[in-house]
Amino acid sequence: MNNSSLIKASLISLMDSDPSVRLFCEGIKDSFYQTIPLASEILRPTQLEELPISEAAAIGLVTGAAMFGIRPIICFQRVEFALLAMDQLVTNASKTKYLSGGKLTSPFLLRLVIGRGWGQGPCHSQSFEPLWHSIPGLRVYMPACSSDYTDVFNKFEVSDSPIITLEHRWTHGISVETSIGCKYSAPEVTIFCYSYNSILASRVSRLLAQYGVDVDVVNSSDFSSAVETVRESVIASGRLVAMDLGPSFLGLSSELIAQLVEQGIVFKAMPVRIGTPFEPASACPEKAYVHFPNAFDLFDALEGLIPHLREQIMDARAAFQNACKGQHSDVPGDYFRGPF
Amino acid sequence: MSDETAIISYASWLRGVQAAIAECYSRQLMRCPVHLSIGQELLWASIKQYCSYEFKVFSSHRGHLPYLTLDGNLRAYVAELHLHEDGASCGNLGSMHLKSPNTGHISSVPIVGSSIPLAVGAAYAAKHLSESWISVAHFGDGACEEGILHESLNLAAVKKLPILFLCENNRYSCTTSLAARQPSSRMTRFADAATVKSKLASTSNLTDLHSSVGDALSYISSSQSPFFLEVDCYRLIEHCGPSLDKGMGDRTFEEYTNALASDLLSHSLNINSYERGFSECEHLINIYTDINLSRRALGFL
Repeated sequence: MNNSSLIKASLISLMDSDPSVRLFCEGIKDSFYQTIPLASEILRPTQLEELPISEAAAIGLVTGAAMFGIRPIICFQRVEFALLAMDQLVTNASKTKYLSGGKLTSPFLLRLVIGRGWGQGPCHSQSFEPLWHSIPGLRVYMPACSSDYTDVFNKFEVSDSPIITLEHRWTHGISVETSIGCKYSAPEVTIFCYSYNSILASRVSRLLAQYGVDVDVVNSSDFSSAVETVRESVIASGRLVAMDLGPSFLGLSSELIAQLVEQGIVFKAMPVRIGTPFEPASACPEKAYVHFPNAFDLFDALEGLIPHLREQIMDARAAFQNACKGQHSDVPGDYFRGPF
Repeated sequence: MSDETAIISYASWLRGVQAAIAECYSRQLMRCPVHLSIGQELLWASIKQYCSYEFKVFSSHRGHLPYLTLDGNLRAYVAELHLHEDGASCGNLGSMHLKSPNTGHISSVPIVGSSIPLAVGAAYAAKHLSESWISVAHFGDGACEEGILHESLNLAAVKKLPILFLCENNRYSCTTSLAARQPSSRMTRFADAATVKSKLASTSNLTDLHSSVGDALSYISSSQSPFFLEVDCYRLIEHCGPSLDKGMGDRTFEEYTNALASDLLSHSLNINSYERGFSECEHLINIYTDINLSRRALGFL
């Protein structure tokens, strides 16, 4: 079972148990990356709603419908399509409770997929997590593993706010048993990460452990609780690598580091941020690989932070490079078939 | 009292209330941008006669008339304009967000066109929860220049939702005339494009206006389908504030004079209702003027 089938199973259970849930998606019969049910797989097929290509009106619709007791889930194929609905999210959805003095709420779940690889290029691979986080009244999640996805659905069931989940497509196909996050009693370094970066960092950390280097990986789907968790690990390690999916400039890592500094955390070495450069992503596989955070960026950062363990890191790096030989760099694994 | 007499009486009261706001706005103690609808009162006075329907109204920055029509709590209205905690939204939101969710005025949103799809959502909820309310998207000719209207009409039509698209064509967006903004003066053409049934009415013909409103509501209720009602009207004062915007933008003084001369409500005004509206509102404004002067004396207002 992978995360896609877990999401689908969660949706079926939610829709069958609550008739007020409605699933809105353009291409409702196309399975939305094997994550949504077909009409034949749920008790009430009328809960599935096809959408015209009208992102702004669709977000307005779910905001208005949620005020009166419908519980909408709405899916857009890429994060960028939600930019067309920015006014509805900022002006209406996020402010329903405030503007009505608490008399009305608009809880809905907006699922946005982050593309990457297979030629997604500059307009299909952005995640904009700092943008969504900058809107009071929205809850934002950036799941990596099965428990992150389960957590999103649990939160949605009791939420009185709109929730945005940024789903990296390279997280959909991984097994629900894949272990994400690493915790050691005396870590050398702490890595803050979320979404696909958590899968990458966990893989690197497990490899490093084989060479005697213990690195904590703090997977943070929910940034609102990340600072506290990272803080705990950084107090033990004294060193931090903070990873963003998008640009380091004005990224979540910047906010994290600012808060840790304000809290008086003393670092043994200056924290390092890993993110994309502040420029659009190329569709070209080699250029895209370099653009997005990758394992070699992590090895480089760790070498700088813990030079006394340079030899072990070099060995782990070589082992990683060896394991990647002959593989395409624009897919998360052999299982991934293009184009979508 | 006949329907039309009642409409004239209520519209006169609405004008009196707004006239008091306009006159006292220069005190600078209603510290928010106030968008009045002087000249446009007959439409909402007509809708008031149909209050046997349950409405969910989503309006815009120019939302005073739906608020007064559906709620009518003048004290909460005046207090809100003075950003006082007695206000309709506890003095947090001011003139551009007037609303009264308990009486069916769900929202006023001061981003042009932004509240239209919310009304589509309320109509979706009515349909799927078997509720009988009629959802109303209330907007002006300016909102017809926003893409969101097109998306919302299309969505309401394809999902067959019980919603009234209520367009007050007051011919101006701030100080810019309709002719400078659109190639046609008819907003119903947008409904035609989405195959939404529509009608054009005018505040210069009360009998037709009132029956058009009634027909629209009855059509939506019986067919559970969208309807677009365009109401030709004329805003007799400036975009935001109490004055004429002569010398600014596209309007000429001659145009004002002609519009005032042909304003149906001015000719048929119920003086008693007008004066009652004016004095009730002025009395409350005076109370909140004193309160706000005290707030200013304490600092920060």
